[in-house]
Amino acid sequence: MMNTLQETEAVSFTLNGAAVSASPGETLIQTAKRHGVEIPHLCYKEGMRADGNCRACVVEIKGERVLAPSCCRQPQEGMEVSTNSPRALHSQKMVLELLRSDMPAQSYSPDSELDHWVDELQVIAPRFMPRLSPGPDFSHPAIAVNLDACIQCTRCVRACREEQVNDVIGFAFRGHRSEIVFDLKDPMGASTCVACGECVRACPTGALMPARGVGLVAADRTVESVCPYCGVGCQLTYHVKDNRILRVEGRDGPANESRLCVKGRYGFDYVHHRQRLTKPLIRRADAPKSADFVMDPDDPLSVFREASWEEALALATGGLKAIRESQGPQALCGFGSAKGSNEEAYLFQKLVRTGFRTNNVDHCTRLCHASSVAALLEGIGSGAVSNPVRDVIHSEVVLLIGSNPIVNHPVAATWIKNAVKAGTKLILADPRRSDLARHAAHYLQFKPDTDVALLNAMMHTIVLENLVDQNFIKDRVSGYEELRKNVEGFSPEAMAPLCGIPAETIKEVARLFATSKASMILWGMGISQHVHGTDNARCLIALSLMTGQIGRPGTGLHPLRGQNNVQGASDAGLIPMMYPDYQRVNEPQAQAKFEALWNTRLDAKPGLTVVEIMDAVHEGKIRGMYIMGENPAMSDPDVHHARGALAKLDCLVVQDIFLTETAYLADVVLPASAFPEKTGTFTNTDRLVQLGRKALESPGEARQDLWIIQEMARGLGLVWDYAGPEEVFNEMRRAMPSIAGITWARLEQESGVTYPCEQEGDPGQRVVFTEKFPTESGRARLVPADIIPAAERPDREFPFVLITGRQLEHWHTGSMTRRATVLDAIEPEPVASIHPLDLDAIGAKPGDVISVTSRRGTVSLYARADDGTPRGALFIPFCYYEAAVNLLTNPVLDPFGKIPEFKYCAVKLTKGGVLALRSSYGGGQSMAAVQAEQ
Amino acid sequence: MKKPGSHDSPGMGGGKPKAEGARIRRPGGAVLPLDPEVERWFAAVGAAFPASRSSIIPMLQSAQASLGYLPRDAMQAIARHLKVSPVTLEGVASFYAQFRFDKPGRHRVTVCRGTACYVRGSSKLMDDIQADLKVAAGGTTADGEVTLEAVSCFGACALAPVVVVDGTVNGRVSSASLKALVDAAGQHPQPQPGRRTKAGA
Repeated sequence: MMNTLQETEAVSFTLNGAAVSASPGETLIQTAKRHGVEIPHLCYKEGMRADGNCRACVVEIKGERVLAPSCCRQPQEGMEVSTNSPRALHSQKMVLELLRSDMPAQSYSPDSELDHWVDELQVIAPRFMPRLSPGPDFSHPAIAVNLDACIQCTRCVRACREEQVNDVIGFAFRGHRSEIVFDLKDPMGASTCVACGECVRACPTGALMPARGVGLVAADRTVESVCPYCGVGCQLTYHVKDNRILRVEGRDGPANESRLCVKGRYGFDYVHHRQRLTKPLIRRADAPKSADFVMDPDDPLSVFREASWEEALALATGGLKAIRESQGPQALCGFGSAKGSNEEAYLFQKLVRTGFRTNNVDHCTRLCHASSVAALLEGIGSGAVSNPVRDVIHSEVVLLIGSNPIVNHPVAATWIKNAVKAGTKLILADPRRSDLARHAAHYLQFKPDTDVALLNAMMHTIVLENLVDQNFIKDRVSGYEELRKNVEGFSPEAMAPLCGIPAETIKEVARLFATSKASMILWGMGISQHVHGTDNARCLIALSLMTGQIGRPGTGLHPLRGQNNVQGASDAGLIPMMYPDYQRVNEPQAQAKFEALWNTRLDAKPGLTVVEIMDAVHEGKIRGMYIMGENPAMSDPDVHHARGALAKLDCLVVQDIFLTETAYLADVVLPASAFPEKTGTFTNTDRLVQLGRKALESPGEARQDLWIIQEMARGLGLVWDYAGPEEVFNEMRRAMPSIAGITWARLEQESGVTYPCEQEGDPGQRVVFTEKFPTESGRARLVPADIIPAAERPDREFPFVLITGRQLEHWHTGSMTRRATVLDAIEPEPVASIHPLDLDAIGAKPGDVISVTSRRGTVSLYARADDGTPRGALFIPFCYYEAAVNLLTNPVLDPFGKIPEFKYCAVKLTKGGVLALRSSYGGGQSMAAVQAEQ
Repeated sequence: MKKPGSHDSPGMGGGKPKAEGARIRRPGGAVLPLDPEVERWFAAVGAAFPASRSSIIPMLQSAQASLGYLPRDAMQAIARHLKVSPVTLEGVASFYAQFRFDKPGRHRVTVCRGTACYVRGSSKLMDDIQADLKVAAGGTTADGEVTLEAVSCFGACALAPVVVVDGTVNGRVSSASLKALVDAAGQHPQPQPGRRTKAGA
């Protein structure tokens, strides 16, 4: 993005009389800075494309008639440059004085770069008339717009258009009437702004600032950490004062290069929410459990009483131990969390395996990429990604299917958009048209549930037109003949009416994918959350293998991980059929290894998965459960069934930071620590292990999760004494060859190391499978897939397809983000996205209340018109307790990955309905209170 | 207690929770169905433009020729058709004086403020007609009848001061004759075909 490198050799020239040497491609301002010469500059920012519009950085070059902007001028051999000649200085000062004359009397930012240079150059008080100033725009919950302080340097435009590629901020009108506008000159809060905050970071004068003055307070200290939300794994810096996070800024991590999204930048204040659990709670004897509970997290004492840690732990471990003794180990189970650290995941599964003595341990990976991982392990022997997201810049073609990264992996989406701007062709296939469609060379709005038809038709074309990479098949792949025979029956012509994509288009994208120099596939829950999720992923793997599009930069397979540590939690063995590093529990060798490492006997029987466990509870087979940071009472399919199971347990222990819907059904609730209150490692979607550092003390008696797990272990008779996360991590290195080479010291120093890293000092492999696949034969295996329809197709009674997923502002079940001020203010209420013509057909208008009913339940919520949703379908995010969409979803499972079909069930729509009274956890409302105080 | 979203500290910001708007649509996003007139224009003419950036200006011109101005829905329809962001379109459209974003009045009165017309009293003409119509230059009367505009020069300086009413060039106009011209135009529900006149002659 910076100036193209034209020169390859260093250039010698004179700077303020001294001989200096410029590195190849360097501009004058960069060379000067390297040599300790500061030149005033405003529109120029390191890392951004130089624009040269403000003219504050002009310098005098001997022999040239006019002054040159040093930010976009490269030196030439022998050039004589003066940054401080009277003429250059005069011009620099004049620019600053002119800009200063338009500024408000008091600066909006304590870090105004204009003020800095005015002081530095001792610019006199402005002698010029100020311009007519535009008024402020406070329409946005996160960003205050004061264009009277705008110097029109366009740094915000470049941040919005070129870095994040949101294209919301622009330059409108002409000459002296030029101004910065949002969309069609809308107030920022009414524009399509996604509140990534990149423009605020870019602004040199405070014309764009964090709202409510949060940018004005100076921090006591800063802590370098990682984002607690999605799998992209952005590094960030907490600014802390008085044990409170003031604000968050992006840090230059491998996955984000300082970029953040709205959740990462503004979604941190949930940790300070008044509803944080600060004391252990024990269920009151007079508070029966029921699947039909109505909860009020503001009033936990109507159901619980406060207790000491000793009493709560004794009750928790006593209850579980009693079940183990009377019913046997298989009557116990544990749910860990992909939001916890690797160390927590590792200790938790070790506790269940060695303390409960069962493999009934699982976590939310079961609900997101279990089918992808099943297909990947079967096909190529590894469940992790082959190439990092940022490899898309090296791709000629990117196939993105069943994924909406703009919402779910926003910073990853920026890398994809950057790649498109640099010439990569994006093929976007998704039944719901997302904002990324605008950037796609081909957008395929295929019918929900027809992934296999579409992908097999693409492979049919590739076979028919001899676009298969025969050498790759010969050297590295098995099972090609079967696959070829299978796809024979899937001609694009036959599949076109099924998937709703014209045969010609299918052929065109197949050719494009197969013949490009480098094609990469990224996918999300749209692929995995089906009864045929494993088949969907098998098709993608086959597509990649048969065209040889794997094992090189810009190629490969990338299932975008949802949670910040779903990769790490799975790696750490938080799954019922595998020990750490995917060593199968029913393989005697692996069992022996872990029996030796953990010095105990282990059960060889694979455990039950998330949804199977709920069924087993209803059958009376499972009686006791320990849940760390998961919320199955919101996230499981057919959640009334799941809530019924939780209510039926003899002993439910929940460890969390809020009284979640799940905790509401617990016998004992243990107050845990939030992400910024502890240190641990987290593995992002790119296999990058990163260090999250403690920034705050936990409130009240809330304790570190590692401490709680250890206390639970002690109560169950285990003798554990880990001093901290480092000690746990070192044990993990002994258990997991993939991270054996990563030292804690290196993590502290570099903040992140990519695995596989088997020996200390290994750089870590960003691209894997370059030579062979980690299977026994070293070859990958093609697995053919046939069309299996969704378990519940629309019919006359339930004519609509329900698709569930997430919103940009809300994380999963909403327990964190609905308590984050800015996020809750932007999306405060439950909404269903429906095509406006479908809405019209039921006689409803946008904003009306509608009711959505499946065979399993009904929810009522607001209707939002969205013509990106296909006709005959609707989309509901699963974060809203008062309209919990998982009351409707179908708990039917993919046979291989055991993942439920969240992306497809049949519902009917009716206008009207009764909204649940409470519509928020109070995040946005607490902001209103702050404003009222001001 | 003040209402949520009220501000009195300068430069603080932090908008009120915008539930009402958010409920209906993602703020700013284009949502079908568009205004029926825009739909008609798009179906008849707009959809045929090649989907590339070079279509931006021709398409803006086409929409304005057909609709009289560029309503939001037209901007959204064009942005979506051409796969450009709304702000890109706004940047282009607002740059050129020829594009209008407000619905014009049924009649259009344009007062020349070029040098020759200025010397011959166009400032007073403008003041008087503004007072008479109760609208500032660039605006449209409340009843939607007349849009009043100022231009720099018509190139008809020999006739100064010049006022163009519904495309008809009128030379040597006085405040009284201008009022009469505007009143006369108001008699017709639609602009009458243009003809050069010398109102003062």
